[in-house]
Amino acid sequence: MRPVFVVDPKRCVACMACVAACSIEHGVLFTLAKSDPEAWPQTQRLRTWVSWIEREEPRPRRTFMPLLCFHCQDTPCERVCPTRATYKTPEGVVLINKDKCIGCAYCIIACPYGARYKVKAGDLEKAKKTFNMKEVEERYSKTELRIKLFKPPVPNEWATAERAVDKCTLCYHRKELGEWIPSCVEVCPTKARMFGDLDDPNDPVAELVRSGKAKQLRPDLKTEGLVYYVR
Amino acid sequence: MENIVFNDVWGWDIALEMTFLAIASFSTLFAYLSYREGQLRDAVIGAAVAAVLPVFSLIILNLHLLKPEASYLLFLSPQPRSWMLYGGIGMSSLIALSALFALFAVLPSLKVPLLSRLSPLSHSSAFMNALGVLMILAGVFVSLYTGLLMSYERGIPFWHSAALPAIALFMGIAGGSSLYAFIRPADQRVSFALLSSLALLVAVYLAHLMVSLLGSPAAHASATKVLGSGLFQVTLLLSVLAVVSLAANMFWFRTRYVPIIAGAIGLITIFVLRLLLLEAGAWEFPVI
Repeated sequence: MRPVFVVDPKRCVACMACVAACSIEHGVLFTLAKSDPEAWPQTQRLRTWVSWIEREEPRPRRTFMPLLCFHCQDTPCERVCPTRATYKTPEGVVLINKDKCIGCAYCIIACPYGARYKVKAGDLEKAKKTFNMKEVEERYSKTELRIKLFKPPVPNEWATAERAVDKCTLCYHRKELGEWIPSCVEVCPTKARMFGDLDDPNDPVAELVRSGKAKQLRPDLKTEGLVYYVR
Repeated sequence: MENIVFNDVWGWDIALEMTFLAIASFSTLFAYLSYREGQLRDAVIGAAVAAVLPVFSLIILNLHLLKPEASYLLFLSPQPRSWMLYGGIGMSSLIALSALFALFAVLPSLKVPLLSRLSPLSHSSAFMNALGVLMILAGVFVSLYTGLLMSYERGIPFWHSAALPAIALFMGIAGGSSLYAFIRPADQRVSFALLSSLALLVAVYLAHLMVSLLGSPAAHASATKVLGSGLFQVTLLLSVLAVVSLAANMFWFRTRYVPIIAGAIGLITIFVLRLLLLEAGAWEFPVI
C-alpha cells in the first residue's frame, strides 16, 4: 500500500473535530492549546491543527488550512536525527521511536512544515490540570469532572510520551488493528480530509493526486510528502 | 496568516555552546604556534582551554536534551547522515587531542615518576608536530561544523547559505585570537589576527544580511530582525571600534590594554552575532 492524504481546504469549516479526535486518539496536549489562527502543529504543540488565512482581494474571504506532518519521502527530519529515532515504515509513514528519541530537537529545526514539537517532562500532567476554555474552568475547576477533559492516549508505541518529540503518525497503529483510517479523516464531517491508496487504481482519493487536482505544498523544497492539497 | 515563524528551539544556551566551540577551535592553532616558539606556558593554556571549553559545550548540549541520560545513543545507534554525529565526534576528538597536547607539552616540567615513561614522546618533535596538526585539524573542523550544521537546513532560508560556514570559521579565528589577546597582549601578530578576523567576521555577516534582505520573505524577515536589533547595533559599533583601536594600537600607541579590551569585545561579538543568527532564523511554513 502507498498511502496518500488529501486535504480539500474549500470543504473545511474549521469545526476542529479533527483536532479533538487526534487529541483523544493520541492523548496530545489539547488542553494546553490556544485557539490561534496563525499557528502550526509546532507552535500549538498538537499533531494536527487548522489555521486560517484571510484575504481582502478580490473579495474578503477566509480559507481554512488543515495541517499535519507531510510524511516526506526525502525526509529532512529522518536525515538529521542523530540516534535514528525517526524512521520511515515500508509504506513511507514517518514515525518516531520514543525510546530512542533523546529530544535534541534537531528534527524540529529541520522540518520545513512545522509538524514537530517537544513534549517536556510534566507536560501531560500539566495538560490534565489545565483548561483552554475559561467557562469550562469556572464550572468544573472544583469538581472531579475536570480530569475527564484529558484522556490518556490509545495505547500504542507512537502515542504521545513525555521527554520526546511528537508528531502525526497518520494513525499508523490503526493499520495493525485492521482498517487503517486516521482518526481525523474518520471524524471530518465535510470530507475535507481524505485518505487513500495510490496503489489502488479505483481509489477516488488517489485519483485526485493522479489527475493533478491535488498538489503538494512547497514543491520547491523537493521533500515529496504523502500529503496533498486540492488547489 | 503570518506564515513566518522565528526559531525558539535553539536559543542563548546553544549560542553560548557555539561560542565556547569557536574560542576552543582556533586556540589550538595559537597553542601550537606558541609551542613552536618555545612559549610553553602560553601553549599549555591554549591547549587546556581547547580541551575544557568543548566539555562545557557538551554539558550545555546534554542539558538541552529532553533525555540527557540517553545521549549515549548518539554513538550506539548513530545516523551517519546527521551533522550532530560528526559534531560529537569532532568535539570529542578536540577534547582528547588538546588534552594530550597540553599534557605532553607540560610533561617534561612535571617530574611525575609515573608519567616519566611518556617523557621521550614529549621530546620527539615529530610526535608533537603530528599531535599539534591533528589538534588544529579537529579545531578547524569543530569551527566549521557549527556553520555547516545550520547551513544544511533548507527549511530556514536565513541559515541555508554558504556564508554560514565562512561566518563560523571567522568566529573561530576571532575566538582563538581574542583568547590569546588576553594571554599575549603585546604580540603584534595576535593583534593582527584579531583585527583581521573580527573585520572579516563583521564584513561577511553584514554581506549575509544584505543578501538575505534580497532573498525569500523568511530570509528578509530574519535579516530585518537582526538589523533592527539594538543589541546588534551596539555590538556592531563596539566591534568596529575594536578593529579601529587595534589598528591604531599596532601602529602608534603600543599599549597592552587595547588588545585586552578588543579581545573582550571580540568574545562578546561572537556570542551576540551567533545568538542573533539563531534567534532570527525563521521558517516559511506553507500556505495555500
